[in-house]
Amino acid sequence: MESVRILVAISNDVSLEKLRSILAENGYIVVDQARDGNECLRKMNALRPDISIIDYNLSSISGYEVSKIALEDKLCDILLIISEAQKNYIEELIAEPGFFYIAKPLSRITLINVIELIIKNRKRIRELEKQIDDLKNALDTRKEVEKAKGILMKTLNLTEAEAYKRIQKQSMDRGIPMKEIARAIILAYDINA
Amino acid sequence: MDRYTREDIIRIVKEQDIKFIRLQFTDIFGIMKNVAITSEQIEKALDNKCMFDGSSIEGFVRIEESDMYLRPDPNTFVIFPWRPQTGKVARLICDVYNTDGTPFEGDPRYILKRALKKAEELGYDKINVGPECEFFLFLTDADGYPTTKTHDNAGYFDLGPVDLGENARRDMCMALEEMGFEVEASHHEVAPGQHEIDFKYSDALNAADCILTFKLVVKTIAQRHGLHATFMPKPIYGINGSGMHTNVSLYKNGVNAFYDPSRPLYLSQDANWFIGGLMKNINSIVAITNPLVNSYKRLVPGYEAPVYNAWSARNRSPLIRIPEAKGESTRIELRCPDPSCNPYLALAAILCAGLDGIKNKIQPPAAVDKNIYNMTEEERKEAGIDLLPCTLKEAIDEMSKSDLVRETLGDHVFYKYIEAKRKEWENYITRISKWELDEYLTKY
Repeated sequence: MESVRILVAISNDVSLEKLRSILAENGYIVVDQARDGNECLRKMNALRPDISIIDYNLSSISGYEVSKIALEDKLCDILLIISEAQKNYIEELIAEPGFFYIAKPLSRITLINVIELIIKNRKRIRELEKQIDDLKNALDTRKEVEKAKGILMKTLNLTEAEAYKRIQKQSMDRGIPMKEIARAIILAYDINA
Repeated sequence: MDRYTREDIIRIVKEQDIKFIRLQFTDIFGIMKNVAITSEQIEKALDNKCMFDGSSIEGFVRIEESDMYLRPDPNTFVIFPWRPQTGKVARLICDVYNTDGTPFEGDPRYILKRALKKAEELGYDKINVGPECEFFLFLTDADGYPTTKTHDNAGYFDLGPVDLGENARRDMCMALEEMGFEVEASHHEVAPGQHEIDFKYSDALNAADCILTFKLVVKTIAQRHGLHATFMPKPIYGINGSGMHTNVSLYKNGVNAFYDPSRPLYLSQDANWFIGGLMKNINSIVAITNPLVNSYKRLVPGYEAPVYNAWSARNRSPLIRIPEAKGESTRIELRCPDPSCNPYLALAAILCAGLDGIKNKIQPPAAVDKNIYNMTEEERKEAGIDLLPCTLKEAIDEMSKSDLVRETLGDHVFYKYIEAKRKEWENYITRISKWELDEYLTKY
């Protein structure tokens, strides 16, 4: 299992220490701790943890605000510690991907389970994001190659297969992706037009 | 150059799902004010029907005449990039108008527009301004109050591979670019925790709008990084302060009127006179370009801030420097302004001071290419180099004597400004500072 880097932000020293030791016992790396909201933001930016466990009641900036900024800026996944009553206040965040919460009192087992869940979820989302990127890339390439093909067919009187071959050969000879070749053809055509 | 029409804005507000629009303007001290409206009211706002209570704004009007109208400038429409995808926020910078439809003479933006009109009457159809804003990033304490500790020397380096300030500055640049700024340079400045971001020059009105927006962006992004950004001119004794060097060039019929290849330093006659005007009037306008008690603690020897009224093509100690770049880029760099100034008033004052030189053909004294800090007082006297005002009080006294500044600002702002600044000085000078206690309490 890849090691997960966690930042812990709690104003209360006793709870902070307790949480740190639970995490450490279970093999997680606690990269740092923060005692107020601003410090938490600074450390999230500087250390880029995978997950931040944040108490709702932080001084200077509340844990809620910190979570919101972290999610908007895509800094890391958030596990917010709330009291049952605070659940009403976090409704806006609940739908956000990457946001998780847990209500006090914390039990060791639930905490670890939730963290496991977050990690699993992270992994899955990262895989999906990569797939989307790949697909987008492939789609872009196809769109541009199609267009370039059309230009070659028109200007050089080629068949579709010949035009495609031309582009492919240029790409292979020069070691440049087909997308780039297609772009160059389109650009050259646009300049001439 | 119109970027947006009324219809464009209404369409964008709908398309981009913008929830709130902030109508922005400034008081005479350059503090940004907002009236937030919901997207349903955008048409009303664009029809110039949004009102506010002018008596609540410092330096505006009395209660009896308090209704004022905001006229949004469609070209200033920008969506704030740091809000979530749903419920975006946009802004429009506004001109302030009286109920009878005349521009309000206490509106700093109107004062700059009036100054630009004066330049136009003299044939200068475009005034380019390029500001270089410096600022400090400080840590906040556990209660969220800013400190003067910088991230550089607070032992944060050993925490991670990423410098907090760099990180915040990078996000600032990205936010600025998303808002249409062309960021030209961004770097760490001389002092610990001090940063500079330069954006591309543009016409004066746009540049002043940009300076305001810039300050807002820097402060907001800093906050999102758990830092406090300040444009206070000299927050810490003993290290460099924050300036806002201002590059100016005038254009006539699309040609840079400051450039003349046939003359020494490639500076045209106009440019020389402009320098002459600036140097003649500088003492009367520093109260505007350097408006705080604290501003004058930056203007001391030893920290790359100007202290003497002189100009040079080479060294960086005097008030005015001529940067190397020539041709289209020939320009004058005024080095005294600091970012606490009201950019509209400051640019109007700088422009009118320079134009006074052109109108009255004021020759500047010879350029000083020696380091003035190393000259003795006699040498300085011989070369005719004067000191800039040393305190806000001196600056205000100088300003109050100037007809040029009164004309530039208009009576309303001129007198309100002086009154407020005298109060500020009074307030400062009667306080007992930490230095006095440290120095005297035990000794006497």
